[in-house]
Amino acid sequence: MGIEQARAIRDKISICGVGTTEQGTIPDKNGNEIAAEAFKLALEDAGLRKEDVNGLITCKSFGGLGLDTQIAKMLGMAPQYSATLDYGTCNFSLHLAAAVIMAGLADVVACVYGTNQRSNRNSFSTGVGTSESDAFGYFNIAGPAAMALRRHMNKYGTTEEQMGTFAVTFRKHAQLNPIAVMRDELTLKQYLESRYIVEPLHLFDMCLITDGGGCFIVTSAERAQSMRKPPIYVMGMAESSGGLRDFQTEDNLMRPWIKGVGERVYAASGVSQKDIDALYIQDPTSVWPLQMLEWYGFCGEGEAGPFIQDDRISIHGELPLNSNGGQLSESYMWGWLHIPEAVRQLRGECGERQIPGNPEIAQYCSTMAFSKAASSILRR
Amino acid sequence: MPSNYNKPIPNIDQAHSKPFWDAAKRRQLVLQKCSGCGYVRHPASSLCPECLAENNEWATLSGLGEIWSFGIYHHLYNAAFRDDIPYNVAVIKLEEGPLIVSNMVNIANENIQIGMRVKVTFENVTDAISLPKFEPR
Repeated sequence: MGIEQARAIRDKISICGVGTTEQGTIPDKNGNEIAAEAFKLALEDAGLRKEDVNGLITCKSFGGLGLDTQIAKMLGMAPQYSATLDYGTCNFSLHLAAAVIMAGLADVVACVYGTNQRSNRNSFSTGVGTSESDAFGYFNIAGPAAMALRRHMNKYGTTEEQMGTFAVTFRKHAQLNPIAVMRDELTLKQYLESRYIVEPLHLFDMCLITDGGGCFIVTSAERAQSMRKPPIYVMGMAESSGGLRDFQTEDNLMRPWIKGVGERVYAASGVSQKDIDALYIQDPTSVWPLQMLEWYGFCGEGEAGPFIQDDRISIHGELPLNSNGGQLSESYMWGWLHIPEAVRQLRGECGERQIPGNPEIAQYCSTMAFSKAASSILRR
Repeated sequence: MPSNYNKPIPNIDQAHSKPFWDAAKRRQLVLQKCSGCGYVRHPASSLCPECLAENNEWATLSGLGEIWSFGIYHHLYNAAFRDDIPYNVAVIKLEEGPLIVSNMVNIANENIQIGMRVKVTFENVTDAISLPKFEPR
Protein backbone atom coordinates (compact mmCIF):
# COMPACT_ATOMS: atom_id res chain seq x y z
CA MET A 1 0.00 0.00 0.00
CA GLY A 2 1.16 3.50 -0.79
CA ILE A 3 4.29 2.56 -2.73
CA GLU A 4 3.26 4.78 -5.65
CA GLN A 5 2.69 7.56 -3.16
CA ALA A 6 6.09 6.89 -1.57
CA ARG A 7 7.77 6.95 -4.98
CA ALA A 8 6.09 10.23 -5.84
CA ILE A 9 8.44 12.15 -3.57
CA ARG A 10 11.60 10.72 -5.10
CA ASP A 11 14.07 13.47 -5.89
CA LYS A 12 11.54 16.20 -5.06
CA ILE A 13 12.96 17.02 -1.65
CA SER A 14 16.49 18.22 -0.88
CA ILE A 15 18.69 18.82 2.07
CA CYS A 16 20.34 22.15 1.33
CA GLY A 17 22.24 22.93 4.52
CA VAL A 18 23.70 21.18 7.54
CA GLY A 19 25.21 22.46 10.77
CA THR A 20 26.88 20.65 13.64
CA THR A 21 28.26 22.31 16.76
CA GLU A 22 31.29 21.23 18.75
CA GLN A 23 30.49 18.04 20.65
CA GLY A 24 31.44 16.94 24.12
CA THR A 25 31.21 19.23 27.10
CA ILE A 26 29.53 22.62 26.68
CA PRO A 27 28.84 23.79 30.22
CA ASP A 28 27.88 27.36 29.51
CA LYS A 29 24.94 26.77 27.15
CA ASN A 30 21.64 24.99 27.61
CA GLY A 31 20.23 22.56 25.04
CA ASN A 32 18.17 25.22 23.27
CA GLU A 33 21.12 27.59 22.97
CA ILE A 34 23.17 24.77 21.46
CA ALA A 35 20.31 24.01 19.04
CA ALA A 36 20.24 27.69 18.04
CA GLU A 37 23.96 27.58 17.33
CA ALA A 38 23.48 24.52 15.09
CA PHE A 39 20.70 26.39 13.27
CA LYS A 40 22.96 29.37 12.58
CA LEU A 41 25.67 27.05 11.24
CA ALA A 42 23.17 25.35 8.92
CA LEU A 43 21.91 28.71 7.62
CA GLU A 44 25.49 29.71 6.83
CA ASP A 45 26.11 26.37 5.09
CA ALA A 46 23.00 26.85 2.96
CA GLY A 47 23.62 30.52 2.28
CA LEU A 48 20.23 31.38 3.78
CA ARG A 49 19.01 33.96 6.24
CA LYS A 50 16.66 33.20 9.10
CA GLU A 51 13.89 35.02 7.17
CA ASP A 52 14.11 32.44 4.37
CA VAL A 53 13.09 29.61 6.73
CA ASN A 54 9.34 29.19 7.17
CA GLY A 55 9.18 25.76 8.80
CA LEU A 56 10.64 24.55 12.08
CA ILE A 57 10.79 21.02 13.46
CA THR A 58 12.52 20.66 16.81
CA CYS A 59 13.20 17.65 18.97
CA LYS A 60 12.68 17.32 22.69
CA SER A 61 15.77 17.16 24.82
CA PHE A 62 16.33 16.56 28.50
CA GLY A 63 15.10 18.98 31.10
CA GLY A 64 11.90 19.99 29.32
CA LEU A 65 13.81 21.67 26.50
CA GLY A 66 13.64 21.35 22.75
CA LEU A 67 10.06 22.56 22.30
CA ASP A 68 9.40 24.36 19.04
CA THR A 69 7.64 27.16 20.89
CA GLN A 70 10.72 27.81 23.03
CA ILE A 71 13.19 27.63 20.16
CA ALA A 72 11.08 29.71 17.73
CA LYS A 73 10.84 32.37 20.41
CA MET A 74 14.57 32.31 21.02
CA LEU A 75 15.24 32.60 17.28
CA GLY A 76 12.66 35.34 16.87
CA MET A 77 10.79 33.30 14.27
CA ALA A 78 7.09 32.82 13.51
CA PRO A 79 7.21 29.90 11.06
CA GLN A 80 4.17 28.94 8.98
CA TYR A 81 4.76 25.39 10.11
CA SER A 82 6.13 24.55 13.54
CA ALA A 83 6.26 21.25 15.43
CA THR A 84 8.13 19.38 18.18
CA LEU A 85 8.99 15.72 17.82
CA ASP A 86 9.54 13.49 20.80
CA TYR A 87 12.56 11.81 19.32
CA GLY A 88 13.63 12.98 15.90
CA THR A 89 16.85 11.01 15.26
CA CYS A 90 17.08 13.02 12.02
CA ASN A 91 14.99 10.43 10.15
CA PHE A 92 11.63 11.08 11.79
CA SER A 93 12.27 14.83 11.49
CA LEU A 94 13.34 14.60 7.85
CA HIS A 95 10.23 12.59 6.98
CA LEU A 96 7.96 15.12 8.64
CA ALA A 97 9.78 17.98 6.89
CA ALA A 98 9.35 16.24 3.53
CA ALA A 99 5.64 15.69 4.16
CA VAL A 100 5.22 19.34 5.19
CA ILE A 101 6.90 20.58 2.01
CA MET A 102 4.96 18.18 -0.25
CA ALA A 103 1.74 19.35 1.39
CA GLY A 104 2.63 22.98 0.80
CA LEU A 105 2.62 23.88 4.48
CA ALA A 106 6.09 25.42 4.27
CA ASP A 107 8.91 25.45 1.75
CA VAL A 108 12.12 25.77 3.74
CA VAL A 109 12.11 23.68 6.91
CA ALA A 110 14.82 23.61 9.56
CA CYS A 111 15.08 20.43 11.64
CA VAL A 112 17.06 21.06 14.77
CA TYR A 113 18.27 19.40 18.00
CA GLY A 114 20.51 20.41 20.85
CA THR A 115 21.28 18.98 24.28
CA ASN A 116 23.47 19.65 27.27
CA GLN A 117 22.70 16.29 28.87
CA ARG A 118 26.34 15.80 29.85
CA SER A 119 26.95 19.12 31.59
CA ASN A 120 23.51 18.91 33.10
CA ARG A 121 24.32 15.43 34.42
CA ASN A 122 20.99 14.09 33.26
CA SER A 123 20.19 10.63 34.50
CA PHE A 124 20.15 7.65 32.18
CA SER A 125 19.27 5.36 35.03
CA THR A 126 15.55 5.30 34.47
CA GLY A 127 13.61 2.09 34.07
CA VAL A 128 13.11 0.61 30.64
CA GLY A 129 10.38 -1.98 31.09
CA THR A 130 6.93 -1.55 32.56
CA SER A 131 6.40 0.74 35.53
CA GLU A 132 6.96 -2.30 37.76
CA SER A 133 10.20 -3.58 36.34
CA ASP A 134 12.24 -0.93 38.19
CA ALA A 135 11.67 -3.14 41.22
CA PHE A 136 13.83 -5.80 39.57
CA GLY A 137 16.63 -3.39 38.67
CA TYR A 138 15.81 -3.16 34.95
CA PHE A 139 17.38 0.21 34.09
CA ASN A 140 18.88 1.86 31.04
CA ILE A 141 18.79 0.82 27.39
CA ALA A 142 21.77 -1.45 28.13
CA GLY A 143 19.37 -3.88 29.85
CA PRO A 144 17.16 -4.77 26.87
CA ALA A 145 20.10 -4.39 24.47
CA ALA A 146 22.12 -6.94 26.45
CA MET A 147 19.16 -9.32 26.44
CA ALA A 148 18.79 -9.00 22.67
CA LEU A 149 22.51 -9.60 22.20
CA ARG A 150 22.49 -12.66 24.39
CA ARG A 151 19.68 -14.19 22.36
CA HIS A 152 21.57 -13.41 19.17
CA MET A 153 24.69 -15.08 20.58
CA ASN A 154 22.67 -18.05 21.76
CA LYS A 155 20.88 -18.53 18.46
CA TYR A 156 23.66 -17.73 15.97
CA GLY A 157 26.93 -18.14 17.85
CA THR A 158 27.84 -14.44 17.60
CA THR A 159 30.91 -13.79 19.76
CA GLU A 160 32.17 -10.86 21.79
CA GLU A 161 35.22 -10.70 19.49
CA GLN A 162 32.93 -10.19 16.53
CA MET A 163 30.88 -7.55 18.38
CA GLY A 164 34.05 -5.64 19.24
CA THR A 165 34.53 -4.87 15.54
CA PHE A 166 31.82 -2.20 15.70
CA ALA A 167 33.51 -0.23 18.50
CA VAL A 168 36.99 -0.64 17.04
CA THR A 169 35.94 0.37 13.51
CA PHE A 170 33.87 3.38 14.58
CA ARG A 171 36.77 4.57 16.74
CA LYS A 172 39.09 4.49 13.72
CA HIS A 173 36.60 6.65 11.84
CA ALA A 174 36.27 9.04 14.77
CA GLN A 175 40.03 9.53 14.84
CA LEU A 176 39.68 11.15 11.40
CA ASN A 177 36.69 13.29 12.43
CA PRO A 178 37.55 16.72 13.90
CA ILE A 179 34.35 16.98 15.94
CA ALA A 180 34.47 13.46 17.38
CA VAL A 181 34.81 13.22 21.14
CA MET A 182 36.65 9.90 21.47
CA ARG A 183 39.85 9.87 19.46
CA ASP A 184 42.23 7.63 21.38
CA GLU A 185 43.11 4.33 19.77
CA LEU A 186 40.82 1.45 20.67
CA THR A 187 42.01 -2.09 20.07
CA LEU A 188 39.97 -5.29 20.17
CA LYS A 189 41.99 -6.35 23.20
CA GLN A 190 41.02 -3.15 25.06
CA TYR A 191 37.39 -3.72 24.06
CA LEU A 192 37.39 -7.29 25.40
CA GLU A 193 39.15 -6.30 28.62
CA SER A 194 36.80 -3.37 29.28
CA ARG A 195 34.29 -3.85 32.04
CA TYR A 196 30.81 -5.18 31.37
CA ILE A 197 27.99 -2.68 31.74
CA VAL A 198 25.19 -5.21 31.42
CA GLU A 199 26.81 -8.49 30.41
CA PRO A 200 27.43 -9.30 27.57
CA LEU A 201 27.65 -5.59 26.65
CA HIS A 202 31.04 -4.02 27.33
CA LEU A 203 31.78 -0.38 28.16
CA PHE A 204 32.78 0.29 24.56
CA ASP A 205 29.50 -1.08 23.23
CA MET A 206 27.72 1.85 24.84
CA CYS A 207 27.36 5.30 23.34
CA LEU A 208 28.81 8.37 24.99
CA ILE A 209 26.94 10.97 27.01
CA THR A 210 27.71 14.31 25.40
CA ASP A 211 26.54 17.85 24.79
CA GLY A 212 26.04 19.17 21.28
CA GLY A 213 23.62 20.04 18.51
CA GLY A 214 22.79 19.42 14.89
CA CYS A 215 20.58 20.98 12.26
CA PHE A 216 19.67 20.37 8.65
CA ILE A 217 17.55 22.45 6.31
CA VAL A 218 15.12 20.82 3.92
CA THR A 219 13.49 22.34 0.88
CA SER A 220 12.12 21.38 -2.50
CA ALA A 221 14.61 20.11 -5.06
CA GLU A 222 13.69 23.10 -7.22
CA ARG A 223 14.46 25.64 -4.52
CA ALA A 224 17.72 23.88 -3.64
CA GLN A 225 19.18 24.47 -7.11
CA SER A 226 19.87 28.12 -6.30
CA MET A 227 21.59 27.51 -2.98
CA ARG A 228 25.25 27.53 -2.01
CA LYS A 229 25.97 23.82 -1.97
CA PRO A 230 25.01 21.00 -4.33
CA PRO A 231 21.61 19.65 -3.25
CA ILE A 232 21.33 16.23 -1.67
CA TYR A 233 18.09 14.58 -2.75
CA VAL A 234 15.81 12.33 -0.75
CA MET A 235 15.22 9.19 -2.82
CA GLY A 236 12.87 7.44 -0.41
CA MET A 237 11.66 7.16 3.16
CA ALA A 238 9.90 4.56 5.30
CA GLU A 239 8.91 4.04 8.92
CA SER A 240 7.28 1.52 11.19
CA SER A 241 6.16 1.29 14.77
CA GLY A 242 6.26 -2.46 15.11
CA GLY A 243 7.55 -2.56 18.61
CA LEU A 244 4.60 -1.05 20.42
CA ARG A 245 3.33 -4.55 21.21
CA ASP A 246 6.60 -4.87 23.09
CA PHE A 247 6.20 -7.35 25.94
CA GLN A 248 3.46 -9.29 24.30
CA THR A 249 5.48 -10.80 21.54
CA GLU A 250 8.55 -12.98 21.17
CA ASP A 251 9.78 -10.43 18.63
CA ASN A 252 10.31 -8.24 21.65
CA LEU A 253 13.84 -6.79 21.50
CA MET A 254 14.86 -8.74 18.36
CA ARG A 255 12.87 -6.37 16.09
CA PRO A 256 12.26 -8.46 12.95
CA TRP A 257 9.47 -6.00 12.12
CA ILE A 258 12.24 -3.68 10.90
CA LYS A 259 12.40 -5.82 7.76
CA GLY A 260 9.24 -4.07 6.58
CA VAL A 261 10.92 -0.67 6.78
CA GLY A 262 13.74 -2.00 4.62
CA GLU A 263 11.39 -3.41 2.00
CA ARG A 264 9.46 -0.16 1.77
CA VAL A 265 12.44 2.20 1.67
CA TYR A 266 14.11 0.26 -1.14
CA ALA A 267 10.83 0.01 -3.07
CA ALA A 268 10.24 3.75 -2.63
CA SER A 269 13.82 4.67 -3.64
CA GLY A 270 14.18 2.26 -6.55
CA VAL A 271 17.58 1.08 -5.24
CA SER A 272 18.71 -1.91 -3.21
CA GLN A 273 21.34 -2.70 -0.59
CA LYS A 274 24.11 -3.15 -3.15
CA ASP A 275 23.63 0.47 -4.33
CA ILE A 276 24.37 1.94 -0.90
CA ASP A 277 27.81 3.59 -0.89
CA ALA A 278 27.63 4.97 2.63
CA LEU A 279 25.55 3.44 5.42
CA TYR A 280 24.60 5.05 8.71
CA ILE A 281 23.00 3.19 11.59
CA GLN A 282 22.08 5.00 14.78
CA ASP A 283 24.08 3.29 17.52
CA PRO A 284 23.05 3.83 21.16
CA THR A 285 24.71 0.43 21.59
CA SER A 286 26.44 -1.89 19.09
CA VAL A 287 23.35 -4.09 19.14
CA TRP A 288 21.62 -1.59 16.83
CA PRO A 289 23.99 -2.03 13.87
CA LEU A 290 24.12 -5.78 14.60
CA GLN A 291 20.36 -6.08 14.18
CA MET A 292 19.88 -3.54 11.41
CA LEU A 293 22.52 -4.94 9.08
CA GLU A 294 20.43 -8.11 9.16
CA TRP A 295 16.92 -6.66 9.06
CA TYR A 296 17.76 -4.28 6.20
CA GLY A 297 19.18 -7.25 4.31
CA PHE A 298 22.84 -6.30 4.03
CA CYS A 299 23.55 -9.82 5.25
CA GLY A 300 21.43 -12.82 6.20
CA GLU A 301 19.71 -13.22 9.55
CA GLY A 302 22.25 -14.12 12.22
CA GLU A 303 25.21 -13.35 9.95
CA ALA A 304 26.16 -9.81 11.02
CA GLY A 305 28.98 -11.03 13.30
CA PRO A 306 31.04 -12.64 10.50
CA PHE A 307 29.79 -10.07 7.93
CA ILE A 308 31.53 -7.11 9.60
CA GLN A 309 34.94 -8.77 9.76
CA ASP A 310 37.91 -8.10 7.46
CA ASP A 311 37.34 -4.34 7.37
CA ARG A 312 34.13 -4.67 5.40
CA ILE A 313 32.47 -1.78 7.30
CA SER A 314 35.50 0.51 7.37
CA ILE A 315 35.51 3.65 5.21
CA HIS A 316 37.87 1.81 2.88
CA GLY A 317 35.73 -1.30 2.83
CA GLU A 318 32.85 -2.61 0.79
CA LEU A 319 30.15 -1.08 3.03
CA PRO A 320 31.40 1.97 4.94
CA LEU A 321 29.36 2.22 8.13
CA ASN A 322 29.17 5.29 10.37
CA SER A 323 32.05 7.15 8.78
CA ASN A 324 31.69 9.78 11.51
CA GLY A 325 32.45 7.35 14.32
CA GLY A 326 28.82 6.95 15.32
CA GLN A 327 27.44 7.48 18.78
CA LEU A 328 30.02 5.10 20.14
CA SER A 329 32.86 7.50 19.34
CA GLU A 330 31.67 10.74 17.69
CA SER A 331 28.92 11.93 20.00
CA TYR A 332 25.58 10.87 21.45
CA MET A 333 23.07 13.02 19.70
CA TRP A 334 20.02 10.72 19.54
CA GLY A 335 21.08 9.96 15.96
CA TRP A 336 21.26 13.63 14.93
CA LEU A 337 24.72 13.67 13.41
CA HIS A 338 24.34 10.79 10.98
CA ILE A 339 22.41 12.74 8.32
CA PRO A 340 24.76 15.76 8.39
CA GLU A 341 27.63 13.30 7.94
CA ALA A 342 25.86 11.50 5.08
CA VAL A 343 25.24 14.85 3.36
CA ARG A 344 28.87 15.92 3.78
CA GLN A 345 30.16 12.60 2.45
CA LEU A 346 27.92 12.83 -0.62
CA ARG A 347 29.17 16.40 -1.17
CA GLY A 348 32.78 15.21 -0.88
CA GLU A 349 33.55 17.49 2.09
CA CYS A 350 34.95 14.99 4.57
CA GLY A 351 38.68 15.41 4.15
CA GLU A 352 40.67 12.64 5.81
CA ARG A 353 37.60 10.49 6.44
CA GLN A 354 36.09 10.95 2.96
CA ILE A 355 34.82 7.63 1.63
CA PRO A 356 36.80 6.93 -1.54
CA GLY A 357 35.19 6.48 -4.95
CA ASN A 358 32.82 9.46 -4.94
CA PRO A 359 29.92 7.98 -2.96
CA GLU A 360 26.60 8.65 -4.65
CA ILE A 361 23.94 7.06 -2.43
CA ALA A 362 23.68 7.01 1.37
CA GLN A 363 21.19 5.33 3.69
CA TYR A 364 20.38 6.11 7.31
CA CYS A 365 18.58 3.68 9.64
CA SER A 366 17.41 4.70 13.09
CA THR A 367 14.94 3.73 15.80
CA MET A 368 13.11 5.17 18.75
CA ALA A 369 14.35 2.72 21.38
CA PHE A 370 12.67 -0.62 20.66
CA SER A 371 9.36 0.78 19.48
CA LYS A 372 9.75 2.59 16.15
CA ALA A 373 12.10 2.52 13.17
CA ALA A 374 12.77 4.79 10.21
CA SER A 375 15.03 4.88 7.20
CA SER A 376 15.94 7.42 4.52
CA ILE A 377 17.93 7.03 1.33
CA LEU A 378 19.74 10.10 -0.01
CA ARG A 379 21.69 10.77 -3.20
CA ARG A 380 23.78 13.53 -4.65
CA MET B 1 11.05 -8.74 57.23
CA PRO B 2 13.46 -6.05 56.10
CA SER B 3 12.27 -2.70 57.36
CA ASN B 4 14.73 -0.65 55.37
CA TYR B 5 13.89 -1.79 51.83
CA ASN B 6 14.95 1.12 49.67
CA LYS B 7 14.68 -0.32 46.15
CA PRO B 8 11.96 0.98 43.81
CA ILE B 9 8.62 -0.55 44.66
CA PRO B 10 5.67 -0.99 42.30
CA ASN B 11 2.50 1.00 42.80
CA ILE B 12 0.27 -1.76 44.13
CA ASP B 13 -2.91 0.28 44.46
CA GLN B 14 -3.70 1.11 40.86
CA ALA B 15 -7.16 -0.25 40.06
CA HIS B 16 -6.24 -2.21 36.95
CA SER B 17 -3.21 -3.97 38.49
CA LYS B 18 -4.13 -4.29 42.19
CA PRO B 19 -5.33 -7.91 41.80
CA PHE B 20 -1.85 -8.88 40.54
CA TRP B 21 -0.21 -7.61 43.73
CA ASP B 22 -2.94 -8.97 46.02
CA ALA B 23 -2.38 -12.41 44.48
CA ALA B 24 1.40 -12.11 44.80
CA LYS B 25 0.92 -11.57 48.53
CA ARG B 26 -0.95 -14.90 48.53
CA ARG B 27 1.95 -16.44 46.55
CA GLN B 28 -0.07 -16.76 43.37
CA LEU B 29 0.80 -15.54 39.89
CA VAL B 30 -2.25 -14.12 38.11
CA LEU B 31 -2.70 -12.21 34.88
CA GLN B 32 -5.71 -10.82 33.06
CA LYS B 33 -7.44 -13.18 30.65
CA CYS B 34 -9.73 -11.43 28.18
CA SER B 35 -13.40 -12.42 28.40
CA GLY B 36 -13.79 -11.59 24.74
CA CYS B 37 -10.98 -13.57 23.09
CA GLY B 38 -9.13 -15.41 25.87
CA TYR B 39 -5.83 -13.56 25.33
CA VAL B 40 -3.65 -13.47 28.46
CA ARG B 41 -2.03 -10.07 28.80
CA HIS B 42 0.87 -8.42 30.56
CA PRO B 43 1.41 -5.73 31.67
CA ALA B 44 -1.93 -5.02 33.33
CA SER B 45 -4.29 -2.94 31.29
CA SER B 46 -7.96 -2.03 31.31
CA LEU B 47 -8.24 -2.99 27.64
CA CYS B 48 -7.43 -6.19 25.76
CA PRO B 49 -4.73 -5.29 23.23
CA GLU B 50 -6.00 -8.01 20.87
CA CYS B 51 -9.75 -7.39 20.66
CA LEU B 52 -10.10 -4.16 22.73
CA ALA B 53 -12.68 -5.74 25.07
CA GLU B 54 -12.67 -4.40 28.61
CA ASN B 55 -14.09 -7.42 30.44
CA ASN B 56 -11.51 -9.79 31.81
CA GLU B 57 -10.93 -12.23 34.62
CA TRP B 58 -7.75 -12.63 36.59
CA ALA B 59 -6.57 -16.16 35.75
CA THR B 60 -4.28 -18.05 38.09
CA LEU B 61 -1.23 -19.16 36.12
CA SER B 62 0.88 -22.25 36.56
CA GLY B 63 3.90 -20.15 37.52
CA LEU B 64 5.97 -22.17 35.08
CA GLY B 65 8.02 -20.83 32.21
CA GLU B 66 11.45 -20.68 30.67
CA ILE B 67 14.17 -18.05 30.43
CA TRP B 68 13.76 -16.03 27.22
CA SER B 69 16.85 -13.95 27.91
CA PHE B 70 18.75 -12.26 30.71
CA GLY B 71 21.40 -9.66 31.43
CA ILE B 72 23.88 -9.36 34.27
CA TYR B 73 24.15 -5.81 35.60
CA HIS B 74 27.74 -4.91 36.48
CA HIS B 75 27.13 -1.16 36.29
CA LEU B 76 25.25 0.44 39.17
CA TYR B 77 22.33 2.51 37.89
CA ASN B 78 20.46 2.79 41.17
CA ALA B 79 22.30 3.03 44.50
CA ALA B 80 19.76 0.76 46.20
CA PHE B 81 21.17 -2.17 44.22
CA ARG B 82 24.77 -1.62 45.30
CA ASP B 83 24.99 -4.77 47.40
CA ASP B 84 23.53 -6.91 44.61
CA ILE B 85 26.06 -6.02 41.89
CA PRO B 86 26.50 -8.05 39.73
CA TYR B 87 22.79 -8.90 39.62
CA ASN B 88 20.67 -10.59 36.96
CA VAL B 89 17.49 -9.39 35.30
CA ALA B 90 15.66 -12.03 33.30
CA VAL B 91 12.76 -12.03 30.88
CA ILE B 92 10.69 -15.15 31.50
CA LYS B 93 8.35 -16.62 28.89
CA LEU B 94 5.44 -17.99 30.86
CA GLU B 95 3.70 -21.20 29.77
CA GLU B 96 0.56 -19.22 29.05
CA GLY B 97 2.39 -16.95 26.61
CA PRO B 98 3.28 -13.58 28.12
CA LEU B 99 6.82 -12.38 28.77
CA ILE B 100 7.56 -10.99 32.22
CA VAL B 101 10.60 -9.17 33.64
CA SER B 102 11.95 -10.48 36.92
CA ASN B 103 15.07 -11.78 38.67
CA MET B 104 16.37 -15.33 38.91
CA VAL B 105 17.03 -16.48 42.47
CA ASN B 106 18.62 -19.59 43.99
CA ILE B 107 21.08 -19.82 41.14
CA ALA B 108 24.53 -18.34 40.49
CA ASN B 109 24.59 -15.80 37.64
CA GLU B 110 27.12 -17.91 35.73
CA ASN B 111 24.72 -20.85 35.60
CA ILE B 112 21.76 -19.00 34.12
CA GLN B 113 20.99 -20.05 30.56
CA ILE B 114 18.48 -19.16 27.88
CA GLY B 115 15.84 -21.89 27.70
CA MET B 116 16.24 -22.93 31.33
CA ARG B 117 12.94 -24.15 32.82
CA VAL B 118 11.82 -22.06 35.78
CA LYS B 119 9.04 -21.70 38.32
CA VAL B 120 7.79 -18.68 40.21
CA THR B 121 8.58 -17.94 43.81
CA PHE B 122 7.72 -14.90 45.88
CA GLU B 123 9.94 -12.54 47.84
CA ASN B 124 8.31 -10.53 50.62
CA VAL B 125 10.14 -7.24 50.31
CA THR B 126 7.89 -5.16 52.57
CA ASP B 127 4.82 -5.87 54.75
CA ALA B 128 2.60 -4.90 51.85
CA ILE B 129 4.52 -6.11 48.80
CA SER B 130 5.65 -9.49 47.53
CA LEU B 131 7.59 -9.64 44.27
CA PRO B 132 7.35 -12.61 41.90
CA LYS B 133 10.82 -14.00 41.17
CA PHE B 134 11.88 -17.19 39.44
CA GLU B 135 14.05 -20.18 40.27
CA PRO B 136 15.17 -23.26 38.35
CA ARG B 137 12.94 -26.31 38.28
